[in-house]
Amino acid sequence: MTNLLQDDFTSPESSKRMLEEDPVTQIDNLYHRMHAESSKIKKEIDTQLWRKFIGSLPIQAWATRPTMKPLEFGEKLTIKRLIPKKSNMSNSSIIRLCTCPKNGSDLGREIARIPEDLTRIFSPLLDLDISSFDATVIESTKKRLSTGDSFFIQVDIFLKNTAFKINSVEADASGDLKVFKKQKTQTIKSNFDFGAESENESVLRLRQFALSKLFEKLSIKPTKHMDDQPIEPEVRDETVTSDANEADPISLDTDSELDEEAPEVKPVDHVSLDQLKQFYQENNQSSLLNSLPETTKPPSSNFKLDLRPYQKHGLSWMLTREKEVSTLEVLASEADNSSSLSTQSKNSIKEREEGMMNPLWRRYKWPRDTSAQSATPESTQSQSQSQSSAKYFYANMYNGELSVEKPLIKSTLKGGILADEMGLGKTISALSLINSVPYDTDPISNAFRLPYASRTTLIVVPMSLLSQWKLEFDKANNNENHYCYIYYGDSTENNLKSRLCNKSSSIPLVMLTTYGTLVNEFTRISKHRNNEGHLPQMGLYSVSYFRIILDEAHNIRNRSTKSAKSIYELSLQRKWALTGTPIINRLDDLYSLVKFLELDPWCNFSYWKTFVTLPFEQKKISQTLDVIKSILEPIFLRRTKNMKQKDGRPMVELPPKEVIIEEINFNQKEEKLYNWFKARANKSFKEGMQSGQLLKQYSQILTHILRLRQICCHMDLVGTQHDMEDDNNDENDNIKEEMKEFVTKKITNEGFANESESNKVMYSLFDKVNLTDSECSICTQSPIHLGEMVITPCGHQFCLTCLIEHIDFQNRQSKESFCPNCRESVSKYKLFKVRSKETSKKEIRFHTNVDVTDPSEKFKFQLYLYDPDRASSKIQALMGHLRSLKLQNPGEKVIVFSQFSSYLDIIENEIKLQGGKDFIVYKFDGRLQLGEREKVLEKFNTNDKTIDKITILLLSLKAGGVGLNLTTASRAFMMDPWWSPSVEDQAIDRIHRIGQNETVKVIRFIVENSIETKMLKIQERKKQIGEAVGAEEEERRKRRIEEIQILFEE
Amino acid sequence: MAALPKRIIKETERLVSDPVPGITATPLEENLRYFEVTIDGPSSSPYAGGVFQLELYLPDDYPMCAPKVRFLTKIYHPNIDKLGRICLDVLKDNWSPALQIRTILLSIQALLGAPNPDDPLANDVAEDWKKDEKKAIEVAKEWTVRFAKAKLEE
Repeated sequence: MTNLLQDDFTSPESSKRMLEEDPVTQIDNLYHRMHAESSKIKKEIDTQLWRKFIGSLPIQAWATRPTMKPLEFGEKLTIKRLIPKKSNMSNSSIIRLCTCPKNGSDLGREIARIPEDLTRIFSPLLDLDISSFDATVIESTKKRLSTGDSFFIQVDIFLKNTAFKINSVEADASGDLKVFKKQKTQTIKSNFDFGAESENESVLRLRQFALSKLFEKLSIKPTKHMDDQPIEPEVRDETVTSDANEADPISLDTDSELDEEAPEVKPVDHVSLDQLKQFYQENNQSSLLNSLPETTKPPSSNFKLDLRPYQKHGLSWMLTREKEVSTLEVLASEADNSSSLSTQSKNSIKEREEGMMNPLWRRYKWPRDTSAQSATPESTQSQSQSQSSAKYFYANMYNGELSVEKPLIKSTLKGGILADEMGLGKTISALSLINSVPYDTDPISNAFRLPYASRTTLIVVPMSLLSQWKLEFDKANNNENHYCYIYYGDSTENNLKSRLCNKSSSIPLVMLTTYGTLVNEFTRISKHRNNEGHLPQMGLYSVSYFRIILDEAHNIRNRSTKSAKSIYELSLQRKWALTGTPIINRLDDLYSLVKFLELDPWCNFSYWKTFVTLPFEQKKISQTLDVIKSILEPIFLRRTKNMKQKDGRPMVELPPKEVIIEEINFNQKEEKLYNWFKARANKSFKEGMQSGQLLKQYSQILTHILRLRQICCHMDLVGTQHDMEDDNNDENDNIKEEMKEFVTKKITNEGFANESESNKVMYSLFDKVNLTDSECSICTQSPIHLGEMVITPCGHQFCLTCLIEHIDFQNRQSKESFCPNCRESVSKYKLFKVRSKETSKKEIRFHTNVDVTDPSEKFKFQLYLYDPDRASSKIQALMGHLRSLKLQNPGEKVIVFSQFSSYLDIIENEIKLQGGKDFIVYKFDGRLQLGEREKVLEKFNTNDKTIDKITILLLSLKAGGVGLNLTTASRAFMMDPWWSPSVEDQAIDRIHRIGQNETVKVIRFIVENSIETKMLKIQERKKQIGEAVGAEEEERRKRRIEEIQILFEE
Repeated sequence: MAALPKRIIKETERLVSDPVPGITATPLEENLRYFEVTIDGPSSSPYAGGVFQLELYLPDDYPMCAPKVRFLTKIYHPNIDKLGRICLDVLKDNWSPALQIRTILLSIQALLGAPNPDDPLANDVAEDWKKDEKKAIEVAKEWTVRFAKAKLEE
């Protein structure tokens, strides 16, 4: 202390200057000033140099040398750290007890040692200047000690001010681990050279190890956060800390897992989807959220839609995230004067503004001083008065840092992640935010490298959603000055400054663009960075935006993709990520979002890696989830459909959903073809199993499986190019040839012997066709629909489906089929269909291979031979449903899903051919241009429901499975199953979501006893074990093999 | 149960709006596939003057298969047994989906007018009929009075 006083003093230069002015008085003055200064410094040092009692341990010590006389009760000993030469801290932990120095020159004499486990804890604490120790003999030894004799002492442990020093710097969370490591080595008072990086890390580890073990020995436990539980914690604090005080220190003789490095090793459990779901839910329990009003809504002059209570609540949250408290207050009370912002919520918001407590830190209560020293009254002075008033201190047990001040994360981040479940209206929520705070009210204070587009929110969406966002914007917008500009395709610009940063009122409120557009521009200009590494000011990168909203933000989940990088480089003030599925495969998916949001300190990957990635890899699952929960808590909001609102009502009351599996039987030809392919697939599978190379043949087997699935849909699909498969084209041609050969072999001899015979019969029937006054004697339909009409060789007309049903029924009972009207025998292969002459050739191509020449010009219709095996059984079933819908619910809108685009083509033709004017068909798949997509969806959605027709949208599962809102339809048909049940659920959610008012009816067509029934099994399995989140590669392989086995088991 | 096919609705409507002389068929409200049927005995037959009660049920497969029909009123007839079951080709192998409730009931009425003891169902009755047709007809008349008329007069 004395040398500190000497060293630190007012600078000689300034005193010299003063001396020149008036020597005598100045010297006098100076003296007083020096005196004042020195006492101030003394005081300062007094307050700086403090130590605080943290706990006591009774210890059994062993004499290492004989003593002159017995040790007496209350005798003080010192604890000394001995460091052998050529050693470093990590492998030396020698501590000895010494007698107290009797006078200044005496250094004290070593007399004893303490147990090894304690020296391992104590030595780093001494080396790193964290703690000081007082040792007191608590039992007089009857005689003087010989080497090896044991005696008992109490060690009082104090935390020194130096232990806390570095934290004031660190607590602000500069975020960079490397930086704080350097700071640390500088502050460490030690004789060792910690130059190397790895040494730094070992210091950190030692510190963390020593502190956590010490806390463990002393049974010091953190108190609960104030933030989370406003009233309770005070009570609980007491109980926790008093427990800690009363509890006996852990028995010292047991050598408790010294090699254990981790402070707490929780049981390794498997992370499943369910756990993640649970974690999402727990994430919303903060008091801030609960206190936010549910009355907030955007000014009606901007926004004309009504928000649901939870959406208003979400808007409140988003406004607090953007630190727009005053706006929130105005908007919340405008709607409902009675419920303005509560003081509680104001307080919690304020607390947030001041900064969140760093989630890795825990608060501890200083224990009551029960040290031997405290018993003697004069010694209390050493405890600095100012510090003793502090009730709590803070520690980060993940790296062993300590702090007396609350470690706050002062985040400047404005924005967050809105992860509401699909269908809860994230789009509307985002638009409500935009309309509440449409532009930066204080644009001047922002000085950026780029021109500031202070009035524009940039929204980045997947291409398929571009038009829908535009529609939603227009639907919600109530301010004629506000408009939405689409930056896509031809309407991109070299420099957006003139459009977005001018004084006129015609600046777009929202600019929509796509991830693809960003990636394109980014790729193009990223080669032309300037010296400072900035991108050239071009296109989307030419301005700084007021706000960005990323829709389906999981698009950037991989931080090393161009999509992600192109987003990171944008200059943005407020950032929002919307996604219903923030975690797709790995926890690291979240990192990319955190990086996008620049959430300190987590956006630093080394930090993330240390606290998330590595612990997770080490299977400390629940610990990792805890950390993530803490990370996300302030910036993450997720609501699910199953959640209840405050009043206990469900979040969204959707009408019920009926999903029915309809089993389809193959027709003869399909069955035969299926079995042919199945035999080939089985052979390949067995070979794979026998050789143990199943996964090597994976793609080959997948092709087999694909073919089987295609036959379930329509045999024409086999060999068509399918975007999902990279089929070998030659192979495809071969299989097509083989199949053709196989198929053209006559399956039955029921048909006409040759074409001329069939033509002969057909010509004779023209006169018997009655288009206007026909009645199907089976279903009494009259007149029979042209597309449905079939005529027997005996000249009787029926509905095709009725007659086929009759024939099948007879055949099932092994009876001969006959014409219901005249009992002539009939065969499926000798029926003629009728079509009007307008039907185009192209559509017919799908229906029959036989090109018919018109026998007579005098008829307005044509006849052609019906091919019962041509149309697939599934399409027949679909047509049946569509027809009965047409009768029962004319005007209905229907979605037909398939994963095969070419299947949608076939269905389209079939519907046009068979259904004629009863149906309006639209098709939406990956091949559709953006402009067309928009038109198709709009037409489908706006089509008048009162017209006497069924409107059908053929939707590719992949192009239309996500995002689209198709609630104008309430019925869907799933033509083919997909491997993952969630993909199908997502597709169904296109119609079963907010805005749907009717019961949703879905029919899933599954071919009985086929690969499709087995796919259902796999879906079931996936639902049970959860989809592979965090599963190891080995595990995934195993599952894949098991799945293939399920597919091939009989 | 599946929704009622359009054909059944149509047939029922027509049975009500355009009834067959001498035949009534009324569906039960709680089961529209079940009909209470009465058939008047043909005037030139031993059953003349009698009103015979029958039940008719349309199975799920209707009209692919025939309706199930049974006499509830006791009747003395070679093709109708003690339980009221009827031996009629169109109710069995010769059913055609083009036939309807109406046509089936007409066929049954015709069967009353033309008993066929060569294709019997009630063997004892058929024997009687073949041995002594006159006596058999008398019994049939007597039964008609006893069972088909008595009911009526009550």
